[in-house]
Amino acid sequence: MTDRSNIPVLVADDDADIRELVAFKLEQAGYAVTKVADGSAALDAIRAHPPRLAVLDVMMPGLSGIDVLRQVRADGAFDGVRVILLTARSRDHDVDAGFASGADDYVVKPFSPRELLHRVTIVLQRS
Amino acid sequence: MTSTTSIAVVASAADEARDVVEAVLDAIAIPVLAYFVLISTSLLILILLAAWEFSHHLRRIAFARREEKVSSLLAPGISVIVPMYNEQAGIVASIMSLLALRYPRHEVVVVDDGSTDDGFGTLREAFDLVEVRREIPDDIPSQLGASSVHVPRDGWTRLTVIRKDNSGRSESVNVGINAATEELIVLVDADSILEPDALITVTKPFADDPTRVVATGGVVRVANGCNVRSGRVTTARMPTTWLPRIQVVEYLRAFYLGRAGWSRLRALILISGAFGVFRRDVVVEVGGLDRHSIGEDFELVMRVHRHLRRKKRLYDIRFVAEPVCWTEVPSTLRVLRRQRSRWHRGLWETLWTYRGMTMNPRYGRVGMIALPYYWLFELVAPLIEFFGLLFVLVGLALGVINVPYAMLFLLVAYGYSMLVTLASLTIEELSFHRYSRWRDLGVTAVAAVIENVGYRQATVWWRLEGWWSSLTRRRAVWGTMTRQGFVDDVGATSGGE
Amino acid sequence: MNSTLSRHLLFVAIVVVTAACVLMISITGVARVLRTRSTRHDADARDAVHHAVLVVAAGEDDGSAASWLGSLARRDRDAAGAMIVGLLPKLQGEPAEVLVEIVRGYGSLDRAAGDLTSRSAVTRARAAWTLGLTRDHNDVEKVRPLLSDRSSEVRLAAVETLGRLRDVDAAGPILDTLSPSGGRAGVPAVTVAEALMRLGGGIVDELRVALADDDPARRDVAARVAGHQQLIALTPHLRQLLADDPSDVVRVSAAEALGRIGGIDDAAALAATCAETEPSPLRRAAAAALGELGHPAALPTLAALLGDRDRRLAEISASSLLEFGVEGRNVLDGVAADAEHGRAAAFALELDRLRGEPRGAR
Repeated sequence: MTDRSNIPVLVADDDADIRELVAFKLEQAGYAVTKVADGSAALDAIRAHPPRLAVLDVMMPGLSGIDVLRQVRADGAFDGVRVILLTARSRDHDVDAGFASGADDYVVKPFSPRELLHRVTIVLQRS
Repeated sequence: MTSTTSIAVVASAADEARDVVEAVLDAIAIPVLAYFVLISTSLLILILLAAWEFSHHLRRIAFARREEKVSSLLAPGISVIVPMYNEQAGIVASIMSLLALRYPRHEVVVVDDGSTDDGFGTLREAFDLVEVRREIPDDIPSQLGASSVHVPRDGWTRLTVIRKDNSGRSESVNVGINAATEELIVLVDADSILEPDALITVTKPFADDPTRVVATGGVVRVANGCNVRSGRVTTARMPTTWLPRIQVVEYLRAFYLGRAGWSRLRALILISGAFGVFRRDVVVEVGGLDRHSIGEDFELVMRVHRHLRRKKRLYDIRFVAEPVCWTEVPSTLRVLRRQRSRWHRGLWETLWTYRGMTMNPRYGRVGMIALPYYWLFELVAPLIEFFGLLFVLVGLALGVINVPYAMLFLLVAYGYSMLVTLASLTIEELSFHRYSRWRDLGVTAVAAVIENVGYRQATVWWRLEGWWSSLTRRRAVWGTMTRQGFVDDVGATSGGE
Repeated sequence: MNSTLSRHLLFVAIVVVTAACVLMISITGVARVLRTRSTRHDADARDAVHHAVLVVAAGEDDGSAASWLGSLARRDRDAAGAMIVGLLPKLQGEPAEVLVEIVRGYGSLDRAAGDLTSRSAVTRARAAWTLGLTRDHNDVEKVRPLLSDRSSEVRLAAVETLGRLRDVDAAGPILDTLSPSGGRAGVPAVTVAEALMRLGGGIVDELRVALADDDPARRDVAARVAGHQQLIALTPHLRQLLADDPSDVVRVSAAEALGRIGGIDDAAALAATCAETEPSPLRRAAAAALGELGHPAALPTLAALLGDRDRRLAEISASSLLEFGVEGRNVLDGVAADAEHGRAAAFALELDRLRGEPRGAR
């Protein structure tokens, strides 16, 4: 199995259940996970210690996942940060908005943790 | 006339006077008692109605998943409108917390009413504002419109800051409404602190019944003494001084539960000035806030009632029985006095303006139940309390009134009211129990008692003062009155109680 | 009032008031004590099961955590059950099924099935909701009768549950709950719409019927669902509603839906709806929909609206034009120079420029 312990991943979700679940799943897979509970903290964390990948919930108070995504993409220094959006919205229009803002992938709630891990692996392999 | 005769004359005059007083007191003795029993009983009924509403509501939210409501595609858009006048100290934190509220689609519109401090400067720096050439629509005609419009440089953050020359809170709100782009508007004071889920909570009635609900209000609590971090109340604590403590009790009783009771009756006529939600199109239809009225938000609600009933449109104004907003209350006597005086004046003027609706069956429960109640038990109450107390004291001094009656009067007027307050505290404990420390509970109970020893009597006097000043019509001072009130009252709520 | 009467009344009053005050204070105190005690219990129990539930939910369980959870004592079961029930709406896949089995092992589902006929409305409602978590289609028949329950709480829970259980056949009855017979309160439109959206695209027929219903609430819900669910087959009906529905609210919803899923014919229809004779909320919705639709045929209409008397309409038209890329910007540029009519266009361009500006790290 590939050694993933050097790969930092950020998980941002204001829902504690989901945050812990996703973080746990990724930690079990060997990633080095940081958890934050809102958009501003996510942005600060990305700027301070850029992760290889960030799993961002879209619906967060203050800065939404898409807001964070836009700000991250607007700054060329963070081009290496992959982003997966996590959201309850699944309509095509919003999926497009997510990709248009620079997301690498999109996972819809209710989600399967295994599926999420799978997506994380794929997105990281692509880069 | 000899000295004995003159003494006799004086004595008989005194006797006559005494007889008159005795006759008057005899006549009013029972009615006065009955009045106070009625007030407190009515409040008790309202509280029971509120308890019913709460229990319903609480059981419902026990298994209503809030997070799914947040992501709803069908959530109505909200524009939060914040009039600002010399709020430099806290405006940035306040606006940041408003932007951070949990809601899929909302914007914040700040209207700087010609502040003389550097509130705008702090906003510009914090949010990196740039001026844009936006033309604010004039759906509600205003005398002094926007002079400049600013948005954050990133172009995405949904914040709009409008600067205009000073012309009062009402007009500033109207300009904000004009600039608002969403279908619902939330009116908040610049120093109101909202709960993170406030927007979801208070717009639920609109989402449930989009064609009928036109306005909602939520519970406003006292922020003094609470731990506030990043514009959010993290722990609720009772204030440290007695004046705000007593106001906590007042808010719990008259506002918190009184409102819920009226809402249950579908006759709600008062939404707090500190926090109210309206359909934008309805507010525009009735012409926005009346800039000449001190009643402000209360007056607006009355106008909405009148307009929609005349048009025979089905509508609903609801109260959402959940705490959504925290506000600073006056902590000094001077500021409190000005606030209470202004409130009662606004109450009087609005009730008088809409006197045509009172006891008018055309206006349904609002006209037949709510308005007469407010006339009798809110407006006139301080007058009756004042004269009742006066007569009892005079009667006691003249020996016309026996002590048991005097004590009975005091008990009924104040003791019963204290009971009602304690009942509201109990219901609060059973429902939201926001004050977690035992100590706070004790303080609240004590405040409920001492409210009746001096505080209430003071508010009676101040309310009468406000009423009197209105009756003697100092019209020229109105504009400044609203603004002075806003300036000096550190965070006092404006509009109706 | 004479002294004896006063004295008697006073005595009675004192007794009543004191007794009532004491009662209030006692209730408050007791309530607080009970509550603090139970919260503390809950917290302890939660920590114990938290990790196990997490392991199962993440799909990392080899079976030991699940069986441990299954063998819990009563008090811990309640905590575990509550935690699982909180997680289930957010999860799907195998871990969700395992969690459902654990909860079934607690007897919660059997209890819920039994509670469906409870006398208390809250209990019935909660039971319906609990069954919805299983996403087991077999439970559907048990929940359907609740759509006509006497309590509005229960009807609402039933609608939500059937949506979650993807009971496509219930689409019609769910729509019926909007305006039940017998003067009952209808289920909120939002709840009905969200439930219908869970049912997927198979409900086109029911929606078609609803679009022609007498009740404007039903037409409104059907229009919104059609738009969000991309049910293109219904666009002719939506166009009809847009043209001549008696209710403005319905027309606005039809406009929004057509913006999402319309084609070239609808661009023309929406453009016509922007005419000055139409009510302003409708004009604004149509202008926004034209932007969403993105069909170039709309450009002239939107351009003409830039100078409209309704300034908000002008703003919406300007931001709609931005959706058209270069062509839209050209139109805006052309009008922006005009002092009187160009302000909305100028603002839209300004905003667009701000958004496009790249910024270095702050």
